[in-house]
Parts: sequence; structure tokens; C-alpha cells
Amino acid sequence: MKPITIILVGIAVLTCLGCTFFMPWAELGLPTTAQDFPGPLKGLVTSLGLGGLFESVRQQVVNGILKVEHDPNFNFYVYSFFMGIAMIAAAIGICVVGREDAEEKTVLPSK
Amino acid sequence: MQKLYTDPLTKGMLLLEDWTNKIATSKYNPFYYHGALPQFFLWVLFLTGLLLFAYYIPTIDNAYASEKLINAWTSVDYITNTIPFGAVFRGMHRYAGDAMVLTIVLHVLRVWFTDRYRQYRIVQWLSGVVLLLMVLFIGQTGYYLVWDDRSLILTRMTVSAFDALPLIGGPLKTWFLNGEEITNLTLSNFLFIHIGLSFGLLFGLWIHYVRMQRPVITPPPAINYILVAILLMVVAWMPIASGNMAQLTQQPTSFEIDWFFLWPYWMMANMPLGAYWLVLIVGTVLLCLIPYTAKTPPVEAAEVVLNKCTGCSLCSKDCPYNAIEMVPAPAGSRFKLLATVKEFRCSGCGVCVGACAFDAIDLPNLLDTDVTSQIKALVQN
Amino acid sequence: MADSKQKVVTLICERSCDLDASLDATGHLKEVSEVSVVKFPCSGMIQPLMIEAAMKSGATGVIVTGCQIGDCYFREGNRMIRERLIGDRPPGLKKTVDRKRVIALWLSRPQTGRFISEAKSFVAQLAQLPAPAPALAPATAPAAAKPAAASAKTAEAKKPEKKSESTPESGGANGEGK
Ligand code: HEM
Ligand code: SF4
Ligand code: SF4
Repeated sequence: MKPITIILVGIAVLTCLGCTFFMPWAELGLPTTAQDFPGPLKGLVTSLGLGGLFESVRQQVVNGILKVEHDPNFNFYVYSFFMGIAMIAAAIGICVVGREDAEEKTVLPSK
Repeated sequence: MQKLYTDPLTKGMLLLEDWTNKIATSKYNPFYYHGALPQFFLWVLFLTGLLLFAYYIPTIDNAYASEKLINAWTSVDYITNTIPFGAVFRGMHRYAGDAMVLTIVLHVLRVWFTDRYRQYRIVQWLSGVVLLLMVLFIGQTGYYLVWDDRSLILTRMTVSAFDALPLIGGPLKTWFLNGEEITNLTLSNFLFIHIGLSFGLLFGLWIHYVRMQRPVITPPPAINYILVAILLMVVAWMPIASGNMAQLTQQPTSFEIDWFFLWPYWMMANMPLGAYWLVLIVGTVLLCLIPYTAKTPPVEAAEVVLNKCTGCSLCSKDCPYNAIEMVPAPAGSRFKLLATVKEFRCSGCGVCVGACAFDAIDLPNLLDTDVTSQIKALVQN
Repeated sequence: MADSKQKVVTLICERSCDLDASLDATGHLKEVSEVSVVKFPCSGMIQPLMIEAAMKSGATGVIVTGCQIGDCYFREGNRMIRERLIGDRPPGLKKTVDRKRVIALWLSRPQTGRFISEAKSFVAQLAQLPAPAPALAPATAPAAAKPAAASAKTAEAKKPEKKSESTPESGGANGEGK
């Protein structure tokens, strides 16, 4: 595998994982403060100090990119937005690997 | 030999595809899945449509507005705002329809520009035109089903368009409304047309594919992911919403146009109805005539050498246009089957010649014996 | 230039890369005079038998060329010949055909340059192979006897040192002439 392939696949995998991380968060309604998270997650959000991250992602996606802040279904839209990015990243990862067996030249297997 | 690919459009298309190959390689070149793209969106439409169908109620009743009112508009509202992810599924259904039209247009342009549209492909072209009309009409009925302001105007405009037709106009209108005026029955008819014709598409597609062996109808998974992802992102980026519930007593006048499906209504609004029908009909006829405009010599169909054919049926399996039928061999033959070429289906490609290990099938204008001696001559001097 | 003992036949689809401007009057590539070209309406028409016939009558290599996989004008021709060559679809190549002497290229219309560079390197690569037994001898006589093909395996490794990729840029060079 070429180094560029490995780099691209790495980026794709990270993007895909990152987006899947935000998907359940979107389903929860995009909470930004610890007490809005369900039980066991509360402590995690405080101890890792994730509040700020969630706050800024929410700002950027809801108000910035999608402008769905007034839509009652905004959390589902954010979910599908992240799912879209995750799928595109996954597809790019697959293509980068898969394109290596597209052939312009066929060498016959020896008999 | 006739010069190939001299048309600038063809050359441009080939350059574009070459450029796409450099990035995506032939394995992921979307142009090489031109027919599979609309087919994929059709499956998306079936799946998302199934979910909508589960909750949709085809009535216009709003007599019980005070009690828990149930009609088409409220059921769509329920799908959108109460069912989790209902808005996303509804959006995907809407945009997959648009995407299907878009990819059909790409498909048509590609088969046209790369010269894949005439002679033995005529059944594909003509059935394609019918499919396109069906898809457009199905999409429009989808817009009636929402039963908001826009649905009401569209329904009324369609009725007056039918009214403008001589003779068949009246019956068409009655069929369309399922009666003489808009009632609950009208919406059940719309739902029936919408779903019934969608399944009718499968029949149309069968005709579209029947002359092709192994039609390419599924893009590779990675392309499918991208197609779905694009839908999801468009849904999030441009959420759809219904207008106000249709009120039969009101006369809404303006509406937003979906340019993929609703352009005929733009035409209706901007020209006399007679002219509208004329443009539609003449346009369709012209579309059907495109394949007959090219001046090309007739195809010289492959010919089976009767006494050599062993009936192995390799040629008939490999023929890309399903042009070879294996028939029982004539009495007295040593073999069971005999290959027969259906001339009107044959493209003259010669794939059958490559498939036959017995030299039993030939292109009349390029005998394989001639090719072999040409090869020998080139090697030996 | 014709001192190279390589004789390569290209069996090409007329819709694949455009060679019209690259051929001389005798059907050889101007830039790689060892390579001659036979056109087909579709690469799917190429019979494995034809490749065998070319080898038997003295070709030292065969290049099969079709359009990009996925882009066959007749839908499937290039996939068919590709599968036949690698042995996934009948009829296939005889076992006696030296697989190292056959390559296949899948190139779109504008990829003429790619074809020529592949042809050059194929000719050079053939020169590295031990000469095939029946290849050179019957080059002047019509097709060799069939059993001769069987002895192809026991190639007398002669002149593996020869390098032939030095193909001069043709200044109107007429290939191998008649
Ligand atoms: C519902 C919409 C349509 C779908 C899903 C569809 C799908 C397909 C598919 C899968 C193929 C086979 C491609 C291959 O394997 O080579 C094909 C071929 C073809 N289609 Fe369509 N098609 C549609 C609409 C149309 C329309 C509107 C036209 C033209 C007016 C058209 C014209 C053709 C032609 C001429 C071919 C033959 C191409 C060839 O032989 O290489 N199709 N279509
Ligand atoms: S491949 Fe040849 S022998 Fe076999 S059925 Fe076809 S024509 Fe006959
Ligand atoms: S030439 Fe042979 S393979 Fe090609 S369409 Fe005609 S019958 Fe089929």
C-alpha cells in the first residue's frame, strides 16, 4: 500500500469515528452542560471537560452550517448531517483501498 | 472504415470520463454506473416510501378539526414532527426523487453523447422515455399527497389542464379526481396512482433491461454510501416542510416550485393550456425520434455457420444484447441445440465470435479467418 | 531499428485508445516499430485462438487492448476477453501459450500516450525473456506444426542479454517495411 493510501484511510477512519461519536449526542438533543446528559455520562462529561467542545460543535453545526436552530427536529437533522459525513468518509476510505484493484493493465497469471 | 467519435460532444464526454478515471479509477467512475444510479435511488424511494406509507392517511377530511383531526396533512405532520427521524425519512424520500430525475438526465445524456442510443438499443431508448414520463408523473402525485396549499393548487391546475383537452379531457379529469370534485376519494386515488405507478416502473424497467444481458443495476457499495450520505446531508441542510393545510374554500395562488418535478406547472402558469399540451406532446415525440436522426449504416448481424455449431451455448451466454437464442437442432444433427441470432437485437459487436471455440459464428463483414490471416501476415513480413 | 527480433501484435478495439495517427502505412506503430496493430469492432471479438495463431506464426508477444473496464461500447466485451485471458471464462488460452508474452491493457480513447509507453516497455520486457522455441524459426514459413508448441516450455535460453528498448524516435521511419 502506498503511504498516501494509508494517510487517507487514516483520515477517513478518524473522521468516521469522530462523526459516529457525535451521532448519539445529536439524538440526545445536543446537550452542552453536564446535567443535561443522562446519568452515567454526567460525570464523564465533567471530568473530561467536554462541555466546551459540545458547546462549540453545537454552535457551529446548528447555527452555523445548518441554520436549523428554530426547527423542532433540529437534533435529527444534526444526526443525519453527521451520519452523512461519516458515510462519505467511510466511502472515501473504501474507495482509496479499492481503487488499487481497478486495472488498466492485466498481467496473465502463469499456468 | 468509418471514422469513430468525431462529434465534439462525444469527445468532450470521453475526456470528462477519462478525467474522472484519473481520480476515481474505472472501478468507481460514476459514469460507468450511469443506469445503476437512478435504479439505486428507486430502491431508496421504495424503502423510505414504505415508512411513510405506514403512517399516511389519504383523506382530506377536516370536518372534525376540533376533535383530533386526522387527514392527509396531519398524518404527514405526524410523520414529520412526532415520529423520531420521520422528518429525515420524509426528506430522504423527497430528495431521492429529485436525485432520481437528476441521475436519469445524466444517464440519458451519457447514452446519447457516447452514441449508445440507436438501432439495436431502440427498445431501451423508447422504454426509457416512457419511464421518464412515469417518474415525472409519480413525483408530481407525491406533491399532491402532502395536501397543503401547494397540493391544492397543483390539483386544480391539473384539472384545468385536463379540461383543456378535447374528448379525453373529461374522462381523464373524472379518473384523476375519482369523481367530479375533490373528495376523500380523490386522495385515495392519488395514493393509488403514486404507489401503483411506482410498481409499474418495475415493469417498465423489465422492458428496459430485457434486451441486455446482466444489466449493471447496482453501483459498488462505496458509491451507494456516498449517494445516501449526500441525501442525508441535503436533508439536514435544506429541511423540508409542508405549507398550510389545504382548505377547499380558499384559493391559494402562488407556490414554491421543485424544478425537478414541477416545471410543467410553471409552463401551465405561463402559457395557454393548448400550447402546454402541444409542447409536451411534441417534446415527447421528438425525444422518441432522436435515435432515428443519426445516419448510420445498418448493423450486419452475426451469422451462425450451421454445420459447425455444436450447440455449446457459450455465445448465447456471453452476447451482451441477449441476441442469441438456442433452439433445438434440426433433425439429423449430431447436437441437441443450435445457436440462432435474432438479427434485430444484434449489435455486430462480435463478442459471440470471441466466445465460440469452434469458429461457428461470424461477423459477415469481418470473418475471423480473415482476421487470423491478417495477423499472420503482419507477423511474417 | 528492425534489428530487434521482437514481433508484437496488438489486438485492439477500434474504440479504445486512438492509434490512427500513430500507425504507419504497414500497420506498425511509428514509435515502436516492433508492434503491429489489428483492429476489432470490440475487444470481446478477440478469440484466444487468434492469440495462439499469432504466437504460432512467429509473434513474440501479444498486446490485447480494450476500453476501460466498465466502459465497453457494447457493454461487456472487454470484461469477456479479460475473463477469458485470466482463465475465468471459456474458451480460455491453451496451456502452451507463454503467459509472460501476453498482456492486456484497458485504456480509454484519449490514452494513446499510455498505450505507446506500455508497448515500449512490453517490448523491452520481452527481450529479457528466453526466446520461445517455435517463435523465430517458422517466422518465414507458414504456421508451425502443432506439436512444436509443446516444446515451447523447453526454451533454449538464447541471447537473454539483448536489449531492444532503444527504439529511435521515428523520423518518418517506416517500421520494418515489407
Ligand atoms: C427509471 C429510469 C431509468 C433507469 C433506472 C435506467 C437504467 C438503465 C440501466 C441499468 C441500463 C443498463 C446499463 C448497462 O448495463 O449497460 C440502461 C441502459 C440504457 N438506458 Fe436507461 N434507465 C432509465 C431511464 C432511461 C431513459 C429516460 C432513457 C432514454 C430516453 C434511457 C436509455 C437507455 C439506453 C439507450 C440504454 C442502453 C445503453 C447501452 O446499451 O449501453 N434510460 N438504463
Ligand atoms: S459458441 Fe459457437 S458452437 Fe457454441 S452455440 Fe455458439 S455458435 Fe454454436
Ligand atoms: S455480434 Fe454476437 S454477441 Fe454481439 S450482439 Fe450480435 S449476436 Fe450478440
